[in-house]
Amino acid sequence: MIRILTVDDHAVVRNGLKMLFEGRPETATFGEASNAQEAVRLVREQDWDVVVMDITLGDRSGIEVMKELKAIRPKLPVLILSMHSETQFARRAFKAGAAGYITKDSLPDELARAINRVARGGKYVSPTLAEMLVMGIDSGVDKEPHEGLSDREFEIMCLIASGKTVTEIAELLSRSVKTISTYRTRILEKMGMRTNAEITHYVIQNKLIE
Amino acid sequence: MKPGNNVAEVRAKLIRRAAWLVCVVIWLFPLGARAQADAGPKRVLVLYWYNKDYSWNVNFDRDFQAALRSAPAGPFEYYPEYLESDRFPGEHQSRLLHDHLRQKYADRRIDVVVATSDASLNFLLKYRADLFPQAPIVFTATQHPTTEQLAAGPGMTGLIILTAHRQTVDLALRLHPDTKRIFIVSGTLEHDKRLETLAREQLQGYESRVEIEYLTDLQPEELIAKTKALPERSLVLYVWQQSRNEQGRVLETREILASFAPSVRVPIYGMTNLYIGLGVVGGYINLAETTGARAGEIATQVANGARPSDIPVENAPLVPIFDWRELRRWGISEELLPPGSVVRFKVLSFWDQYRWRIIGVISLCLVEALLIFALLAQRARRSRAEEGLRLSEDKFSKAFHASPEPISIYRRQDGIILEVNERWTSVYGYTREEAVGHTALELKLVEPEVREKLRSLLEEQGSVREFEADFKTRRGEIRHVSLSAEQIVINNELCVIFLQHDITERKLAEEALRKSENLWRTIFNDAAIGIAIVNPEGRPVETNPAFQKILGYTKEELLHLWFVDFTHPDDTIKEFPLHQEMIEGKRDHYQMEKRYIRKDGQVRWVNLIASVIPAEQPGEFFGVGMVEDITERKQAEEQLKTSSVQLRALSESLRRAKEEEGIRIARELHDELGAALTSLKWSLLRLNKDYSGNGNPVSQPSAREKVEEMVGLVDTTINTVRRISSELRPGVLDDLGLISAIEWHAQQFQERTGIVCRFDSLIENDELSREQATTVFRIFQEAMTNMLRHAQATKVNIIIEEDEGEFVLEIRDNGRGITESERSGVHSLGLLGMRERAHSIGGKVEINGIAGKGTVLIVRLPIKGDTAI
Repeated sequence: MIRILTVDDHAVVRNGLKMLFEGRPETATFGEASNAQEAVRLVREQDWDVVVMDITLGDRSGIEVMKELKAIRPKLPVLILSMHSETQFARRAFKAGAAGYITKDSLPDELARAINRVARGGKYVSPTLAEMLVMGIDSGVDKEPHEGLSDREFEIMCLIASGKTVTEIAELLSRSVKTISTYRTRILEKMGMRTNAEITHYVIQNKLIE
Repeated sequence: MKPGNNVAEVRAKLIRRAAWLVCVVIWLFPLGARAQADAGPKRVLVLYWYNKDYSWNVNFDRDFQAALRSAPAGPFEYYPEYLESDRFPGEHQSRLLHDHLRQKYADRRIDVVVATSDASLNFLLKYRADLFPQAPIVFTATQHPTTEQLAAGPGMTGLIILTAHRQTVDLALRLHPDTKRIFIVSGTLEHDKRLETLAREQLQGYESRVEIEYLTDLQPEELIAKTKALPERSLVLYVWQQSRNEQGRVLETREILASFAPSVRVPIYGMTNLYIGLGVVGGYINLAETTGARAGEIATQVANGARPSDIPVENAPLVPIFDWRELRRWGISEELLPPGSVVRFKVLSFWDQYRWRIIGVISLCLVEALLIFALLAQRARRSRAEEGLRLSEDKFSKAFHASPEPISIYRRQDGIILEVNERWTSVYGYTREEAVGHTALELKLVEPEVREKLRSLLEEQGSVREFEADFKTRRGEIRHVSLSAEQIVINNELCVIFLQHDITERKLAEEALRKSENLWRTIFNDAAIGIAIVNPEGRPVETNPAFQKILGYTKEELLHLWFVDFTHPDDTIKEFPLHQEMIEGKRDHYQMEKRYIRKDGQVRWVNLIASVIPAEQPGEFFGVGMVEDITERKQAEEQLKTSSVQLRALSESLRRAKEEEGIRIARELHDELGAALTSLKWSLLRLNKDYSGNGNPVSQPSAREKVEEMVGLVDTTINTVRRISSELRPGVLDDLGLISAIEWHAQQFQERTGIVCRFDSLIENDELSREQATTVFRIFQEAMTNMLRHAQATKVNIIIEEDEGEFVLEIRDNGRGITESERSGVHSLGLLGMRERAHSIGGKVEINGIAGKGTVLIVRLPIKGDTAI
């Protein structure tokens, strides 16, 4: 039996979820919270296998509420059930500690599967979302290190390689020295390097500047 | 001597004697009875020593006789006799003279006997009883007789001739004060040194003052040698010396003096008249003349019966006598000589000799010259005066005719014009002939009352000055004239000369000036704008009513104010430098909107145009200020500004309201509708599942298809709701923040347009307010839309950074690049909107394009900064 806490400010959704499990082999008990306070109270008072919650809870962000819940029970898995199909939400949700992210337009079976997986301690990402996430985040293994740099980072790398100081670059790009320094740090990080000399060496070897 | 002369002399003598005898006879005849002794002439016998030609004797004789002649009681008979004991010495010779005199004067009674020297006196005393027993003796001698001798017989008195050693030495020492030694020269044939003895006696006491050395009885050669070598600062007193030369000849005292004096180099003083002229400077000298004269006086007194004992013996007068040449030689000024000194041998200069004649001649010449000069001067003056007169007349005539002003001459009596000048004729249009002989009234030159006024003025004052009147020309033109008149006498007639100064032009000019002045004054006074003329100190010396009205001060009050006094202090700070520059000539005007503070404290806004009035004299400064009251306009502007701000705020709030509305609707749509649709979908799917099979009507394939169709419809509806919702308000923005929202939008944009969007953020959380985030997002959306529409770009870089406390969003495309006109054109409302939005949150938008390279748009706003408004 799965103990499911549904957190959604819409009763329709909460009921819908219950209906989803009515004809299914696995049995489930449901707790319902329509706002953050109720959710927090219920999480405090009872044990749950999984929390299914919307990413928006009225005025409050579901992600924030999730963080609160995780603070109470760090191991409590949370599945975000969202109307939003945008990858930004999913990414944010995972960053904040969600175990799964599923959009509300998913098929009921899919939803049940996700709940089950998450409740058992697994992670869940819908296939379409997974694809989008991979496209956005992943840097291919075969790519050259500099291909992971943003255009601005690449530009600044080339300027560093050409012997310009951070101050000169700052002037050239109308940015503060601090900003350019930040860029430099990021470049070094992404390229796995430690010094400007290495950057220069790399740029020349790869014929990135003429 | 010629014989003729002799005869004539003798004859003259005879005639004189005859006359004398006649006189004596006439005189004697009536007095015949008188006693012989009383009645006869007094007889005076003088016994001279030495011969008759001896100069002393000659001089004595002359003055003695003169004394006799001038005596009141006369006449005297004078009998000179000579005792020549020098040349005829000895007792025998003395006896012979005695005998001769006895016999000679046997029948004549002598009244007075005079002895002129010691020798004479001794002879007389010796033979007195024999020769002149009744006659008193008057003597001149060096030895003072004894009292017995004086009282013996008929008595004796006389003069003592002193040897003037002391006086002469005193005199010499006074004239030669540095004298150290005195050499006294004397000598007698007898070598008895009696003169030295005498000198020693006389000069007792002098040894203390000077060293005295006696050169006595030296032979002439010896004397010359000695005296030649006398030391300086010494002098010689030559007393008297006789000596014999080798041939036995007696050298007289003068001869000896003359022999040594020329070689002596020191002054020589002597005490005898004989020596003067032989090289002595001078000395106190007994003069024969004066002694003779005095002796004569005494003799006449005695002869007339005075008792000799009643006449005391007295000293013979001494006279200081000098040789002028010697005085010169020794450099002795005549002024130093004692009073009454006699200077001999004075060489008179031409001037001395002819002084009066010269003065006379010169005076005469001067007088003559003066006369000549006076005459010349007079002639010159007269000719000058004549010339002056001629010139004056000439000048006057020329001045009269050439004068640029009309001049006329009238007869005082009847006002007839006697003369007019050319100018007059040209001004008044009458020829000279037409004018002369008529009166001004006849010619209608003046109104009668003007003429009367002039006449009375002349009557009272004798002249007229600067009298202004109107004169009428022949053609009837009125000339304004300033005239002066003066009375003069011409040919014994009293006339008046009129000098006119035509001031018509001046009058017209004055009139024009007055009109112009009035015009300007009217403009000044009636001007709607305030006008003030300020002096260099900034004091309004002249103000018009409008100016006064603006400030609420009267003209007089303003005179005592400075422009700073009624200028708002904040404006004074701005205006003062401008005013200063204007005074210093660095600018000629300035314009400013400023505030005046009225007398009642009210603030008025004015537009001031201050400018320099061109100086008539260098260094002079006046400024004119034109002041327009723009308070109403300012207020309107202020209101406009306020309303514009309000409008902006309104538009901002509208935008915000719209945004809020969008958020609300979006959320409603998204959440509520979305939830309902989701639920509906789920229900449909359930229905399909539950009722599939089992012969239910719903399980019919047609029914299942229908349900699936409905599910598809619900899906579509959900997507539509999502789209509409996110268009209204992207949920990402509210739930995930600006950075995620921009990233999301970029993705959407890329998907939708195919333009490659590269997003890169240096920060994860924007820390912006919701308001700011929304605004930036909307700007971003607008920018992306613009880019799509205009830029023709294929790639866009979106960079978010934090720079210097500012949030920076940079959108850099590779399109054609925005142009300058697009940036600032009137149609760039999109840009304007972006700027407005940025402004509302305290940020700004920069946009720059490089042709062919692309456009960069940068949004900057302070993080945690106050949102504007």
